[in-house]
Amino acid sequence: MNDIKRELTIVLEEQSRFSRVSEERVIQKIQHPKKKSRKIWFTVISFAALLTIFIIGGLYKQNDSMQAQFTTYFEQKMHGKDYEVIFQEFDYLKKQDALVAFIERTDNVEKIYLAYLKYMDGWEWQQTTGVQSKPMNNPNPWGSRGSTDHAPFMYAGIISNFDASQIIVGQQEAETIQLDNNFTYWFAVSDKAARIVVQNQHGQWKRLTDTFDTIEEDFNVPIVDSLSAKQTVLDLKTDTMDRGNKEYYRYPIVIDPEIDKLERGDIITYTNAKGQQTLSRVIGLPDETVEIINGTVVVNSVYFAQDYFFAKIMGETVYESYLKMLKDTNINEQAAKEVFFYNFPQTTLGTNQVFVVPDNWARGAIEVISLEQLVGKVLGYEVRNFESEWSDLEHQYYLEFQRTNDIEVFRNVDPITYVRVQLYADFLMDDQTNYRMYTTREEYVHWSEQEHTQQSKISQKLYERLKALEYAQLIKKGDFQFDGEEGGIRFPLGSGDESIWRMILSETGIWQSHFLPLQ
Amino acid sequence: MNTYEMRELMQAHGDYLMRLSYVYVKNWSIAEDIVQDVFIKYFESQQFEGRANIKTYLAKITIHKSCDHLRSFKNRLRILENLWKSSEQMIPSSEQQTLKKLEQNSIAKAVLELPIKYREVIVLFYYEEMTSLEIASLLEVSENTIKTRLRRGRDLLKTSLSELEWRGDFL
Repeated sequence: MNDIKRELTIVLEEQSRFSRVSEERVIQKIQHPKKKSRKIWFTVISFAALLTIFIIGGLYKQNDSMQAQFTTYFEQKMHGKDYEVIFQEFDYLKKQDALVAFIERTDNVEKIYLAYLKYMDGWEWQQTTGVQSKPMNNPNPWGSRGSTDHAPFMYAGIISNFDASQIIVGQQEAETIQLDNNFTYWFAVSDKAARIVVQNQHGQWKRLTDTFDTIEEDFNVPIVDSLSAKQTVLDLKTDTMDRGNKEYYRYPIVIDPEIDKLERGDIITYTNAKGQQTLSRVIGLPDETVEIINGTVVVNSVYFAQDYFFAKIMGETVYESYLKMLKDTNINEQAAKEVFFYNFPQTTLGTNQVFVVPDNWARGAIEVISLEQLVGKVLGYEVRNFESEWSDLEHQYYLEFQRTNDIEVFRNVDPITYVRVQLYADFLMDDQTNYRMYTTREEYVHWSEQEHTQQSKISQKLYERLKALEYAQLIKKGDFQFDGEEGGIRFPLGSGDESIWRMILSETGIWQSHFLPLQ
Repeated sequence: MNTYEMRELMQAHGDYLMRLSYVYVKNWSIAEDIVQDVFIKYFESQQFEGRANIKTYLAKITIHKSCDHLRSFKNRLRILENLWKSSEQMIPSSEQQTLKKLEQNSIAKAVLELPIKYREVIVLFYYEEMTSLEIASLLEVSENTIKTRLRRGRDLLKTSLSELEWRGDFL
């Protein structure tokens, strides 16, 4: 038992908490619910609405008795509630069923429910999924998307009109209802774990992921600074983890054979049936039940709107975008479709088995492997691969300046080399040296060394390290120009645009970086 | 569901939900009100929901309602009010007991002082001993996010406890 558990137990559990009095109060309230004044009015309106639907429906259909019964049944179920039906259709999935969407209001909260009902000797309420529609600015665990966890699998949610001009659930378009405040209510009945993709107003497709989750997932390959004795470096040259940037095969990778704990999401190498070593990601752990339905991984019947649970090729998770991206090339649409809607039967893993799914579904094998097949955990690229970007001379400048903190080290050094040395410090996460290479002229100083170090502790290191490397490569092709005490290195960006790294001349005549160098 | 079944349900889960709510609102009497509400809401809505696990579902509503309370106007008013009143006398004894216990248990105190999003995952993981997958499905965010929050929560705990006598054996 850990310390947190022990102490929280002492604090929280010394006595029984939920008292008999509370229990009685609950019982009382559920036996004598409070009457609401407005409810009759709304009931009348809703009843009238249902009646109208029923009458119209009755004109076209013969089996009006079933639908008449529905009205009574629904009205009785919803008795005492303030609601409004916004969608209703009979024989939706099969004969003698109904799909209903309705808004329910309580105090200042408004929720939209999607309900599925079936007729067998009488109507029966099958299941419901609900989302909150008002207040919309209220981020709550109900989410703005809901689904049911057994058949029929219903999906519904609310999305801003700016984010979605078209919504596809599974392979069919969702039904949409415009709400009054620039939001759309959408719903569909589809397969289990159906993918939900939306097209925004710029025509870009996206998979609908966790909306309350602002932390961007990081798929950059980590950089390993030092190796332990047991860790090895291996050049596998396999593109099973490729997300479009030659992930895990651009450079040799570091492998740690000592796996003390396997976690979901770990990248590993293993020996496959052909006896070759290959690279993949652990998605299912021992004793879990895994399944892939139309390109979505389901673990223990839970699935998440999260990147590595989705089928993808070269980092693209939406079939429609993939087709568009490769429109002019000669791709085999059928083969791509098979990847994006791949199925893997429900399988319960043994105590020594894991389920591996590569990031590039078109290239790697999706399979169950035994723990004996595991070779090691993949840690990332070795730092050495990147250091060769900087020349011996640049290394020397860096070491010299780091040791002395004397800007005179850079007298007569050209500004491009100067910036590359600074980017090297950035790459090594040497915040102190990096900061000291910014201009020392007081009128240009934007923040202190302490602030710099603190800020860089918070920000995403990994991202910045690779950026530093990228800029060091780009700036090499740059061209230094100046006018008086201000200058800049004009250099081409990968996209074809140009950028400028601004510099300031120090009082002693040495070019130093501007605090906000990039324009 | 009849009142008898309702009573059984409350006896089975009432204490658990109170503790869960306390972790958010840090006040026993408010937690009690919230849990009452949860059961009432459950009773009213259960005809719609064909859900497998009642306990998880109740926990979900409890978390939802506790967060709602923290955001509510009433809660802000209460905090303001407390600023005016002299603190010692106004606090009921049950609250005082817990506060006293918190003074003696610095780790628990540090956990309850974490920002909510870290507090909840730390409590669910270490105290309720749920797996990150279970927490993810309870809070309806991705498992990776849960892991990130656990990691940052632990870091925050370490920082706040570093001045105290700190045994790092469980982290």
